[in-house]
Amino acid sequence: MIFSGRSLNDISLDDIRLLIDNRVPEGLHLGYKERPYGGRDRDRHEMLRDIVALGNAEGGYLILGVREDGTGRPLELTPFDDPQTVAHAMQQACLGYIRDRIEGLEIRAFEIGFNQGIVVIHVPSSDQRPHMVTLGGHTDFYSRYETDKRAMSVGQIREMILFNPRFRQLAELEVRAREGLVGGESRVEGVIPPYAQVITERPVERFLQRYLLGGVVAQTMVIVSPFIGDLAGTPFELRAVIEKALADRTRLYVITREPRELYHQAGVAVLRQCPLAEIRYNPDIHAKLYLVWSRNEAESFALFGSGNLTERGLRYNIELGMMIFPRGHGRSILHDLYQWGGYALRTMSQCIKAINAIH
Amino acid sequence: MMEFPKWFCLKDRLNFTIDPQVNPDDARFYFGRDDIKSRLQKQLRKAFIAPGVPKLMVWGPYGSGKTQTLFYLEHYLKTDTPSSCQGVPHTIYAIIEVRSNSTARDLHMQLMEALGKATVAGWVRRLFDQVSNLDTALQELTDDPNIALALKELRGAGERTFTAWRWITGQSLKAAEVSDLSVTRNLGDIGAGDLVNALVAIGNLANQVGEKLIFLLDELEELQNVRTGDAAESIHKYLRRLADAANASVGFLIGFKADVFDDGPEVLRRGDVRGRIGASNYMDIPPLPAVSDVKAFVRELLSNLIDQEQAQARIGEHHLDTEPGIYPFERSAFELLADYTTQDPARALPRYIINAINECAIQSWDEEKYLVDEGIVNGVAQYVFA
Repeated sequence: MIFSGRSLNDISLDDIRLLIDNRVPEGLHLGYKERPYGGRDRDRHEMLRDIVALGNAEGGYLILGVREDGTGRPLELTPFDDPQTVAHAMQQACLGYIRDRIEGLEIRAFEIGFNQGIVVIHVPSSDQRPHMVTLGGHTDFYSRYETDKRAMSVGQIREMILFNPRFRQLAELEVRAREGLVGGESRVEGVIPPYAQVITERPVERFLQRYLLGGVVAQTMVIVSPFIGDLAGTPFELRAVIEKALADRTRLYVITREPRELYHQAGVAVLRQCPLAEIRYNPDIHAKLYLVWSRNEAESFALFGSGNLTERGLRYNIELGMMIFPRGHGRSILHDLYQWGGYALRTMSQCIKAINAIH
Repeated sequence: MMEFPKWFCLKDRLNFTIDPQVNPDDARFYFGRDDIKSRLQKQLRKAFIAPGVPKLMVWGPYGSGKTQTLFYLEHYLKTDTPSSCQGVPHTIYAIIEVRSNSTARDLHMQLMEALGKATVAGWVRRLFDQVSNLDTALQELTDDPNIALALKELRGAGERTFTAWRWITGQSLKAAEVSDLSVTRNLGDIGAGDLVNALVAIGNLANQVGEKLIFLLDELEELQNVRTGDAAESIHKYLRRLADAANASVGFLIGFKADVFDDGPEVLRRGDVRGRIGASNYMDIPPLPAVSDVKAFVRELLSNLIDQEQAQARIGEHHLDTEPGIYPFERSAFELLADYTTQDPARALPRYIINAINECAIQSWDEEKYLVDEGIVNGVAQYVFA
């Protein structure tokens, strides 16, 4: 792997110059482009596909501002104007249009002279593969093969999912959950409106399953639960929720009681490790609400009901919950729930851990 | 400790969020965008002269305020009805659910369900009270005798009125039901235009009883979900017929999400639809472009949501470094918030700004500070505008 897969924080302009001096050719882990991507939609698409292709292969570096000789060997630096703006726009596009987001993706401008420079993109090897580009109503999967990228076939996508241990585990859980949950959701068509779903079996687990498997990229997640466990040993560990929140840069608002039991302390300890989590205590809280608010509002959903975010609440107790989706009247219910959990309840509860600065 | 709303002298609300779906009164707000507001109002006033009802599309990125725009326009139509509007605006807010194979029939049914049987039946009864011959009056609303027959049934009660309503909504009836209603076929059997004819007839009916039927359709970017060619084409035909100048009785204000115009659903952008609606009736709701715009937005918001008398008293009592209009922000924190907001133009959106104000206020309340200071804004901006 080029640069031994180092972070851009540990790479200098001299390292880039060394690549040119040694005429290190393009390959599976390295690509050069003479100019930055253009501003048109198809250019943005191209840029996203290039990055996703690296992520879906083994990761690597893409350097904008290096001219190559036509055989993939670098000749010289070709700095361009306003590299900071270019890097920032690319970051925004990646955040908005790549799913799942590539954890650890770095895009950085290296300045060479006044407002001139190059941009380097570091795509780490990702355990969230396959990633996809979703833009302008189209979704596609690309992977890098040697020095080029190609659209992935259905077979390749399937294989990548099956060979990814994380996805394999989740897929198995999905199958198990489907088998175990027959009859768990209301089937009374015409009585239960489509924006609401009564769930009679493992409602909290269904919520977590939807969050972890559903591909939603949340802007905010609200957890209101009097008791919270770390859920270690269950299919949906709290740590997995935290990892996804970090990867998606999701703010996590948690309102619970002050923990007295060991399992509750363990749950809060896991949450405390998440810089994006805000934790509040409220001794009177009895409500249970789980809400995912996505930038794409159509993907948002919420569950309220009786189940705590504990192993018993997930797996053993008889619980009842109602899942709300942003369709029709469900949208205003979701707004109401978000107003309550995301703002009102927070201002009735004591903050014991704020969201830390994000860099 | 004092409750959050009291701490910040909020007027009849729990926080700084504006959401007409939660608080219907919030529809009256349209902050910091006087130019867009006046353009929208002008287009509405013109629309009631020709084509007779508004046919307007508002589009913009996530969080730009499209929903607020639709609710504000509804509020404007109801409380400050343009003199050019010959009738009382009857607005229906609807979010249309779209699947990959949704057709014009599905769209029509949702519009009709949002309008409601009781409303249409009420209009038929009012028409009956106004005219000497209901049959003749209904036939004047439409060229299709089937539609007139079905509308007439709504005046009554019992099972037949429900059958008639189901027919009007475009549901397929059994042969016996069709026969019982004395109509010759199911509505929509001969295409999307058939469905639009029924809707336009209802619009004409509303006109006759002194009302103007206007749909507010939010989140129509959902139309991009329609993947089946024939289904998309039927929706396209439905919208084109509604956009046509011949329809002067059913108005619509449509909101759809798009970062750039070409990201919007094709059926709303296609040349024949756009030509009928008119380019000037496609209004983009962009981010707030400059620091001064953001400041104006925040000032208006704070002025309206905060009890200014209480705020003035609080400022005086504690000698706070702020002023009415920007309270509860310190002067320097207010400037800093505006700077952060405009650093990334794509994030200079009402939703992010309101979120930032709420988060700043919550943190300030957590720390028992009367004012939001620079440190708080710096901390909150890290994640709200990141």
